[in-house]
Amino acid sequence: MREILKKLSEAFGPSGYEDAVREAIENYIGADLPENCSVEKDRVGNIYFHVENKGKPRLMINAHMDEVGFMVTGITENGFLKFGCVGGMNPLVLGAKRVVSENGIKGVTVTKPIHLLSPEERKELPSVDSMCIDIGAESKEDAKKYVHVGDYFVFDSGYVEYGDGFIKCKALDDRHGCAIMCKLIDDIKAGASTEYDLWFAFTCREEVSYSSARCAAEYVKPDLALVIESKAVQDIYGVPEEKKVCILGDGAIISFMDNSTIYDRGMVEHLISLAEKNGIKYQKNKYISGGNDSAAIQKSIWGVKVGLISAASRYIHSQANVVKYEDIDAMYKIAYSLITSEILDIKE
Amino acid sequence: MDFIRKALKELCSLMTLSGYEKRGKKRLFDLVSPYFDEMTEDSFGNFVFIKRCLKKNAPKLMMDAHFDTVGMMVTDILEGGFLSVVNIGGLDTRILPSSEVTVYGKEEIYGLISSIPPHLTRKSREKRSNPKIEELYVDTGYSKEELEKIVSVGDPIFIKGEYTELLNGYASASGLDDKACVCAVFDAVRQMEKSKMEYDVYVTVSAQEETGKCGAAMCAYAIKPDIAIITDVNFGSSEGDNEFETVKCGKGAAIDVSSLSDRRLTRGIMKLLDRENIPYQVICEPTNTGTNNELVSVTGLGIPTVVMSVPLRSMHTPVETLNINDISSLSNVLKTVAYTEMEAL
Amino acid sequence: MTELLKKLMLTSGVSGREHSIREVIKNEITPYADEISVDPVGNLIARKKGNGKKIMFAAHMDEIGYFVTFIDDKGLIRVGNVGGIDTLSSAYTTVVSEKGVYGVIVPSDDKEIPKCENLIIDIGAKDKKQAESKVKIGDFFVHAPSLKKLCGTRYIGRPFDNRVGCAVLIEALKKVKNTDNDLYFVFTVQEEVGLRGAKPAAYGIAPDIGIAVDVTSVGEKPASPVTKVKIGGGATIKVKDSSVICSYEIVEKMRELAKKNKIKYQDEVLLRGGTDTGAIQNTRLGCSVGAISIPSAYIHSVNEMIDLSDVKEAVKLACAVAEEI
Repeated sequence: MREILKKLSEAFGPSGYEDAVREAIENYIGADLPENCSVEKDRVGNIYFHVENKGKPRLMINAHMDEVGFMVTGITENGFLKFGCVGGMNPLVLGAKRVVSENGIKGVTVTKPIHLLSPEERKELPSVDSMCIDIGAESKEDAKKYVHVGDYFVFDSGYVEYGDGFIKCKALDDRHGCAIMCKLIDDIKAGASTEYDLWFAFTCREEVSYSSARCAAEYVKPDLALVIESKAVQDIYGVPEEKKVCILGDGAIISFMDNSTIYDRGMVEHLISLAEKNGIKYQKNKYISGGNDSAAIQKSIWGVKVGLISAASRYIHSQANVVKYEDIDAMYKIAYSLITSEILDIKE
Repeated sequence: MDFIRKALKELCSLMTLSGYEKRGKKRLFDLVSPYFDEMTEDSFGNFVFIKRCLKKNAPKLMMDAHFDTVGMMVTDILEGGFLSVVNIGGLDTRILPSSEVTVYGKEEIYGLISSIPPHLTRKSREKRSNPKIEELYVDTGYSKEELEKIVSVGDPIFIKGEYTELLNGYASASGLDDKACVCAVFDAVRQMEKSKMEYDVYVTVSAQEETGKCGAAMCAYAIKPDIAIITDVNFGSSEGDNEFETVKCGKGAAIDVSSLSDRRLTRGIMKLLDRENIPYQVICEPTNTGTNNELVSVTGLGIPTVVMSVPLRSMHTPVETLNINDISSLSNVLKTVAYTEMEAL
Repeated sequence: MTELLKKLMLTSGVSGREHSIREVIKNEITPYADEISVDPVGNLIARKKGNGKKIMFAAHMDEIGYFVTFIDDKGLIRVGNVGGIDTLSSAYTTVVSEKGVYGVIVPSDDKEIPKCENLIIDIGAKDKKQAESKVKIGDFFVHAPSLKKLCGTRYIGRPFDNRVGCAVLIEALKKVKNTDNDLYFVFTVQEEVGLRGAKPAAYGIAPDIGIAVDVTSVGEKPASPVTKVKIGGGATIKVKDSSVICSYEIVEKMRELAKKNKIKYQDEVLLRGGTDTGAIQNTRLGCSVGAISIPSAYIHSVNEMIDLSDVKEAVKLACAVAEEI
């Protein structure tokens, strides 16, 4: 799973421009599929892998393909690019970072040098408005040869394994979810059996709105949904225990609630019992924060029972997302046991 | 140009935090040994390279560029594998969160500077202000026990920023301040023909400019040069900068005009460049230049100095950016000076 | 050791007025040194000759205090500070002049933390005339010296900064075994006002290696900069302070020596405050430097605290450095 995780995480795919990620997933799945399986696409750019079991309850596993990034909003006379953020980012992590455009043009983000700031300015955080991207262009005309207003940039920050099993890359939110789904599809292709009418939905634009996931729910019409996501945590030194949210390495997070969703009680209990029965490490969130596609899925069609497993992630929405591999593995195992175990009684 | 690119890439990959310049010695010496008659070092961490001309009793021309860079140092090893740190030199803490670093303990280990994502700051409505250095931690991914075996208090930390080429000859890396000028000086000396040189040239690759500017003064004290050229980076203009505080990238080397430099020498060199039709920019720094010049000019009996610079954007960040043509331009200026009699300056 | 400390601490000498303390130290070390000299700025230099590496040890003998600048009609004395006074702790404490005149220091208003310029010394004079008969403009005052034993091996008093460093060097000079190294034990002047004495001393000696001995902060207040150094944790080996980044070969060598000789030590990165180390490093062609510190709480207050066990470790470390580096 490490290989596909690296490949997907390093792929270019800000919200609304997920093409490279989608292509990588399609290539990974391949054309040689079992008889009851198919790959489908919808009009918003979501892509599905369907394991058909006619008449059985529908289970949708969901992860989003997009990442946070930047959009060029203007080019200055001197050839610098003004930009806006695609997705929510803390300006604190934006200064002096390497970025790369959809056409492979490399650049760096520029803030005014600290030496030239007044003492008051030094105390303030640089705003996104005051920053720009430097691609080495000589002038506006020169820059226009390489970049247009509306072009996307993402962080240029590769996959690194460090310390005791930690992984750093841009876009791990939520490519690790995509990687887990790819691994599950591998298992299906290798003969793992499920009793559900099973759908894997790789969705778009989660970072800017949850509506692509709503479209996916309309398309699949699931009875049950499991969302695989990143959870922003701050298990770093100096943060009070109660605000750390979750700890990297303490296992998959099975959430009962976040800012967008209260998860289906049956789903939560089912996921916990699967983890306990199979000896898989899991943790619950100790702080209410964040939101994700579950919100849209839960409220779509006539309502969907939704559950969430997520990976505790440090520094998400920066160039350096950090997860721990053993957590990703635990999430995979929970998802695997969900799809291969007995069907959850959805009437309750 | 090929030499400059190669040298720049090589030098930027060396960890030479202020106080740790000696760790870069071997690769620096390997890189430039073919071009010099003598290479020496002192206990402080300065390196001196000498190329003599054919004249007897020729005057001594010192060309200085500092080798050290800003960075951080470990102050404590904390629960969860985090390190608290202190800055070495003037670091811009506004841009540090989520930067990647290498910690030079018993082995080199990877680290990340911690930050809090918007999901968690938004809710708490904490006033967002610049982090102080003591509020930043380096995340190493090890347990405290394992980390203590590898890292000690006082170990140096280098902020990673690999050499990357942008468009139009622009390049970005961590540590271009002042390795750009180190390259310029070496590129100039490399090309100098001994028969045309009017001076014995002493290249000083000096230590600890970022933490007190004392290295170059020690070299000057030992060499007693007749003229010293201090080369350093200067502020390259980016969007919204005051054009009088900055120089333009891609428009050539700059001559810094300052009261602490030697007025006659500075003006003499500008006239020389005008005569030779060599383009250059001028930047005025009325009181001090913030370079090694401040101490070198008043070392010993006093030394006539001139400051020359390469424009650099995003100074003291991991993405310092410059145009390689400006390095080559500085190299050309240095060579021209070395070929000109002292009386003609 | 406590006898020696007491002798050193009860003799006052602010920066630039180190004559009395210099005499005390001189008498103490004369039997043990091959040569003793005083340089033009007043540094006391004791040499133990050798043919090997030239090693300069430095501990400053000056302390913080006040110079009298003005005496008003009521006989109240205005002062200027010498070095970084902790005004929060100094208000309403006893001060004593170089001639032994006692007084009390009072803030001129009720601001939360008085500025030095708002401190007044009241010597109990009834008018200007009586005051002038006791105190002249230009006389110095210091906070009354003291030395008291607390629990265990802890002591409180002043000025531990840096008479404790002087004591370490004196003990080291007495104890150091024969070595090839050419040793200079320098008791420097004017450290508290900007490392002014050590520089000429280093210029004159031109050492290969410089080692300063001074106190270091333990970050005892919640708002102090973070440090790992603890009182009672042993002598410290300095890596950095605001005046210096120590030569890393020396730091590593000192760590080795400490391990080899079973000396209890701690690594020190001091975030605020400088030492003679920086001045020694930057003299002439520069030299390799390191520093040994004694952890101290409440530095520059009227009650500084140290642990005698750390002082003993510092002496051992200084001897090991002198003999083996």
